[in-house]
Amino acid sequence: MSLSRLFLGKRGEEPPDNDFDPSLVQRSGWAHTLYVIRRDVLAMFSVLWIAAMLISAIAAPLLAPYPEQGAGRNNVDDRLLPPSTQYLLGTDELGRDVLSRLIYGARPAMSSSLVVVAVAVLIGTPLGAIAGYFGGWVDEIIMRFTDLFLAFPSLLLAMAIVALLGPSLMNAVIALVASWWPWYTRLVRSTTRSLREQYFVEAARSIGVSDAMIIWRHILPNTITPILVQSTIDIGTVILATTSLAFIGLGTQAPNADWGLMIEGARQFLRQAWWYSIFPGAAIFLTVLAFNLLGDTLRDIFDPRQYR
Amino acid sequence: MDKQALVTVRGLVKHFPLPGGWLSGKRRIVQALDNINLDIVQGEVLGLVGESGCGKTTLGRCILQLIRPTEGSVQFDGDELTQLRGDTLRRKRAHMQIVFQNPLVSLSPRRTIQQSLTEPLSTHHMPREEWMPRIDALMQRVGLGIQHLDRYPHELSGGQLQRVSIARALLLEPKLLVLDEPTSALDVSVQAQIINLLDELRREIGLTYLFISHDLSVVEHLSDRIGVMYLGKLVEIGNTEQIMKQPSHPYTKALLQSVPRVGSRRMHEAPLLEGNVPSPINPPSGCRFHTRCPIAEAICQQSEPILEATGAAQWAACHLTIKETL
Amino acid sequence: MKPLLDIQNLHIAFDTSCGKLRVVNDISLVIEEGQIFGLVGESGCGKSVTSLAILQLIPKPGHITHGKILFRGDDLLAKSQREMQQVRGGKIAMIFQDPFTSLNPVFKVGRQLLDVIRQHHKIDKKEAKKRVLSTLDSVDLPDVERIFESYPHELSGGQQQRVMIAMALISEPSLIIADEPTTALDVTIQAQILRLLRQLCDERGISILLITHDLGVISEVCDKVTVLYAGAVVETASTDELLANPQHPYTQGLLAAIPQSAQKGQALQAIAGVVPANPGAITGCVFASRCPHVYDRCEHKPSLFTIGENHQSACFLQEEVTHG
Repeated sequence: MSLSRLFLGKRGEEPPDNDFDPSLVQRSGWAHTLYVIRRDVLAMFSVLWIAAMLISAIAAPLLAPYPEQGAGRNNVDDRLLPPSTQYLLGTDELGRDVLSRLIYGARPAMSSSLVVVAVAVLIGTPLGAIAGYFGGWVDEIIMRFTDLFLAFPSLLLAMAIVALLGPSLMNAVIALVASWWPWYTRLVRSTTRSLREQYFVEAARSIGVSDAMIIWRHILPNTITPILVQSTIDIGTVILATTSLAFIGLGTQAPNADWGLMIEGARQFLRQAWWYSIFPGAAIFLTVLAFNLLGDTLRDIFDPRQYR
Repeated sequence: MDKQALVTVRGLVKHFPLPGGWLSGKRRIVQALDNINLDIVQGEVLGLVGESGCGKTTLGRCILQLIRPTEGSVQFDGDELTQLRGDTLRRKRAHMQIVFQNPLVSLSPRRTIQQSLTEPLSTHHMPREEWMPRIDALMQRVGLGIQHLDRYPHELSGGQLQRVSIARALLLEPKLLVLDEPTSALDVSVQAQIINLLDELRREIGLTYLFISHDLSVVEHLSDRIGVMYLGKLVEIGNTEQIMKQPSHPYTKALLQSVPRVGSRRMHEAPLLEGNVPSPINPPSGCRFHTRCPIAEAICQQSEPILEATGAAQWAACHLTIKETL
Repeated sequence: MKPLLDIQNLHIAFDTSCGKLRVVNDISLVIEEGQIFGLVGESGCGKSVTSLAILQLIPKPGHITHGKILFRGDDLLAKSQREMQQVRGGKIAMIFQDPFTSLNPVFKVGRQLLDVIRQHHKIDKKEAKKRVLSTLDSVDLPDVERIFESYPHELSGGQQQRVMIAMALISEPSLIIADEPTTALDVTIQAQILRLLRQLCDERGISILLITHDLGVISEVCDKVTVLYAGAVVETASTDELLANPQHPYTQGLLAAIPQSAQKGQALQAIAGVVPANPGAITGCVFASRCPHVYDRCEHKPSLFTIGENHQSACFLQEEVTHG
């Protein structure tokens, strides 16, 4: 409790030091997480929206009113129709149902972002743990190498790589992984450095446990929480990046559905067909927002100051 | 001495370099330990007391090689520990264990008690069928049941966790147990339970303890001998009764006088120790205690006193008490 | 002696996701002018929450469910947050366990003291600084001009705690609440700080509510002491009386658990068992589950029985002794 705050008469926030046993109040991990999410309307919305997007991506052929159009078949007779009972969200310049395209567009958005973050975590985490645990010259080498990647703006680096490998969703994913993993190295390194000073790590060393086993058993399990929070927020950012790459023609290629690609196509028809640009824009906006909100909520839940 | 020394520490020095020294030209160094000599006899409890920053915790870690000393030698059970590396040192760790101050943070938060307890056994390649019998027997001995095994650390109380820590340290049947403030994080009534447990275990198994604490009354209760440290130096060492009844070193005297005791009421008078402990980065010349010493003379600033006998089994590092006894 | 602070039937509860946790149940105590009053107990006994309640500083989700806190006859609990601002750091000041985290690391010590003084008094800068320097001097800090210009991290732990005490003294309070003020300090420094507290009480007549887990500290400086267990008062007496003649089985157990020179070589008397998790849910005596003398009457809640001048204990055994 900061003293000036107390003396200036504001309410202290920290609970009394040693006066009651937190384990009495604390539910088990998952029950607590669910409790907090249920209490928080925005977090609840985020979880529902993300679930809806995931289901759309998995079950797109079942959910889309016009699966063939969602997958790319033209329907030029009905081009640029406004929303109606037949086409709930209108149609695009090739007469395809926008709703079906959006549902199919969830596939590259969700799958590429999940893959990018997962691979980035898999590369970044071990490097960060090794750098943080051993320190010294090992740390020096690994971190200078990551600095090299971090020095480039990530989207620019991704564009350069895609330009080199040729435009496709697969290459966009590779490019984004290349610019994303260093952040996890940094995150895990700093977490590891503080964990290394903890008594339970020293206790393991005093027993004679080898360094590799200490990292595996005692360090990595404790980095999961910050990684989970960070990667949740990152999924949103990666969706933004993949759709941006698609928008400038370096990601998903037509006739496959992609939110970024849809906005690119809608650009010429902004005045005639507002629905064509608004709905994919809203899909990107809401999905990125949902992942950010969920990440913030997870951070609140796992924050050691509250989750004692 | 008729009994054999289990640990022999000679000329132990530990310097910690401070980061960021190269800009100012000279690297600043914390002199955490300076020329420490002591023996820990087989089967005894050696208490180590002193205020924060005196180096008692660092000494415990240096003996176990959890921190590598800068200079000096540590002999344990016939081996020169400072020379051991890698796997040889790791194997040696089975014979010397440590219990930390705060049991909640010395057990991995995401591992169950059972996982924490099997770790020393698997690490030292104990046959798997021996694991559970050993764990069960020790859990029972420290006063816990098998129902605690699948709990996580945060689900147990401080006293229960400290029992787990002790059980874990004893699983490999060590010869030396370093106890680093094992009761400081506990309430008085629980502290008494843990002290009793440690006392019983030592009598039953014939363990040797290095008992580090700032709490003189706890150290007095448990130790056969007491070493007093000040600013990286061992200033006095001797039999517990002698140290408590007839302390030689002025610092030991001041320390004994400062401890609040039930039934005493001295805060009206008491010529207490003035001032603060100087920084170990630039310790005072000569005797490190001279800046606060009530009886310091000119010689104390110039030359460094060494440990000399002041009684039958008592040694102190003070120019003036030596003079007195001669 | 007239009462300075009179806490009557205080109840405090925390609303948690598992329901209401009643941490303080019916605590009453009276602090008189010019005395050091000790509040002693183990962790979880409710001593810190009680002290925070006096200044209405209980953190959420905790709140006072019942009770009165009279400061010179004035009910503090009836005051608004705005009125409390004048009381905090004014008539009642507080000192915490860890002086380092209680001081703002980015401001110089002098600046922080000036802030406090000008919050409560309308005086000019020069006058304020003079007062700060004289207050720093009065807590036996050397070289006060230098301390005034120092950042907290440039001071030792003992000096920081003296600065905290100076901060508490600056608006001339009648009561200082000191929550484990020496627990983070070394013994030689602790002795200095305890002596300073004793001097403040003796020379200026300031009352001090000293919260501690250490009966040794209580013995050295306190005039009167209340022992708390699981959110309830178990015994109250003058310090000498309590230590010489403890009546409640918990107080007896606590005293027996402290290692003393005399019992070297013997086992210590430990109190078996653990503190109850939710003391508010217990209908009988809160100590019954660990008490060596427990019997059938302990299923009911004992009230505080007066068993001598200035000596009360919440145990049926004492009632029986005093009534025949």
